Amino acid sequence: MMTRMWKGLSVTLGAWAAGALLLRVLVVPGQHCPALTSADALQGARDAGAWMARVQRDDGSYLYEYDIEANRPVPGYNAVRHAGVTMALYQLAAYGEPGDGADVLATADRGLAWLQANLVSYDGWTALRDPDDGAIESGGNALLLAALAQRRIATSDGRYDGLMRGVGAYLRVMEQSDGSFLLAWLPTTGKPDPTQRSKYATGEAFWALALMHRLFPGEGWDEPARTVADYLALHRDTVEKQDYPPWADQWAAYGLAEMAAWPEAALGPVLNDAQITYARSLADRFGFLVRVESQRTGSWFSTLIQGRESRAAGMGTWVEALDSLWILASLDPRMEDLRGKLGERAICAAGMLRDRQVTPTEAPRYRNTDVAAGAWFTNGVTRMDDQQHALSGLLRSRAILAAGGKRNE
Amino acid sequence: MSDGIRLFLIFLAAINPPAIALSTPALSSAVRRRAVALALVVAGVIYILAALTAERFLDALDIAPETFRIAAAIVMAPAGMYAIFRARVAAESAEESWRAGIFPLALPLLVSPATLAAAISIGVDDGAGKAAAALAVPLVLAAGLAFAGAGRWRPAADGLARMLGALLVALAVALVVDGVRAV
Repeated sequence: MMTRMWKGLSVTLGAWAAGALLLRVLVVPGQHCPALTSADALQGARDAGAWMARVQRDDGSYLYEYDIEANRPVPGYNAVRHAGVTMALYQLAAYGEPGDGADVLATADRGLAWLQANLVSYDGWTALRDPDDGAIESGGNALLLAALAQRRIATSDGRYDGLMRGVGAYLRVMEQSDGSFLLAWLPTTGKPDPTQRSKYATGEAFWALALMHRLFPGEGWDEPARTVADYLALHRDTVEKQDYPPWADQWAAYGLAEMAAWPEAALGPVLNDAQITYARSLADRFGFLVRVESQRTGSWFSTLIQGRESRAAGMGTWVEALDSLWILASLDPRMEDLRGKLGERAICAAGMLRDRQVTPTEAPRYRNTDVAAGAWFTNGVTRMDDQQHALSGLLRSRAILAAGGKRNE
Repeated sequence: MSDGIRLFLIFLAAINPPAIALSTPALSSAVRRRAVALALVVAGVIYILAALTAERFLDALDIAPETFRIAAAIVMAPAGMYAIFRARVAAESAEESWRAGIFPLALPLLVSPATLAAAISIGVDDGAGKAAAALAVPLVLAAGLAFAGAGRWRPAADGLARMLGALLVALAVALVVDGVRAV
């Protein structure tokens, strides 16, 4: 006969096991990080780059959005995203293997030609004007400048230096004294619209200005970049009323990593303590997002409990941010303690991205092979920035893999 | 707050010695002495194993330590709530035998889901050594109070148990925040 002890113990352990099972299913399902090698990451980036080349039109614009189930494009275009896609292509030319350069540059240069066809100049600056609505926005111009900077890094070709300075001058017009950026310049008033800021443009402009200082040191691009960095680190989330700070801004992470690599970093840390604190908070945010995503499986039950899988445009930004913060952690000893975890999370997210990408061999299963190959789909739809952010994230994760920051390889 | 104090407070609140003093079943003095000694040994072994194997355990479950902090907090918070309202640890009465040292003294009084989750989380985050050091005093204190019982200090133990319950809830909330705000 079972003693009271055994009975009590059995009931207790049984209740614990049931609770543990419930906890496992509802709160802490396993986190899955698909294996990723440097070659996989590069191939994923190449496949995304090849997608951009295939869907590019004669005027240099790209297929904006496509519903693969309906097998038709979704109407619309976005000049900011065009600049972003072009920038990602130049990144592939700059950080891919030498053999990637020529084809990718040709595609990116056609994308640049579209941007050049839509430039306006005023009062000493040059800027991209959206051909659809006439808007002259900070975000698109920041990404145009970043694209030109990546092109210069890839080619050392100085033919667009003048244009870079012109677009940089536009960004300086759009920067406010506190370091924030206004959304758009209004042709009707001949001034920036003082009523609207952009939560994206400030980080984008920060990175572009930081790149300008790398490429043109001594021209004074560092001061506006430092002002933005302080605004992002100290004021942005409050001024712009972020409910759950920090705003998950991968562009800010790009900019901080770029600043940490400025030439003057050889003399001492470039980033101040507030900027490092901000970088650490970004690391926490992006790390958490990856941990949650890695628990999602895409099944109906996982979708019910954990939410649906994130689109590649979102996940790609996380990898871009984590790649950048990993670089920062490699350069600044105040971030060094996070380097291992940052690398682990970046590779985990990059592995998930590669795992979810439609590879060229899988593409024939879809109704439009050309649009499917190399793309990421959410509910059957892909948008060009899915490929943009995923390409950038995968490409830059190679540095972490090369440094041994891999987990499942 | 230093790490050592934080870890000590987590284990103190999770084990909740005054609640154990109030929850220990009625046993004769001789049986109680043997049962408490056995419970202390069993609990010590379980905790040491939990802390030492924490990393492998989480690896096997594919859970990042930062994510497990959130799970541990979810286990700790209800235990704290129970202590706030009942000033007891959830347990049943026992037979008059050394076996009471296993049930209910070792499990679930000295080793509960909340303390076990804390031991695993702290073991993987701070190392088994720190976990063991932080755990030792609350565990021995709990065993001592389980042996002595609350006696005439019952009202004081009752109040302290509820306070530690509240502390456990607060620490659980902090652990969730810590788990969310971590890479």
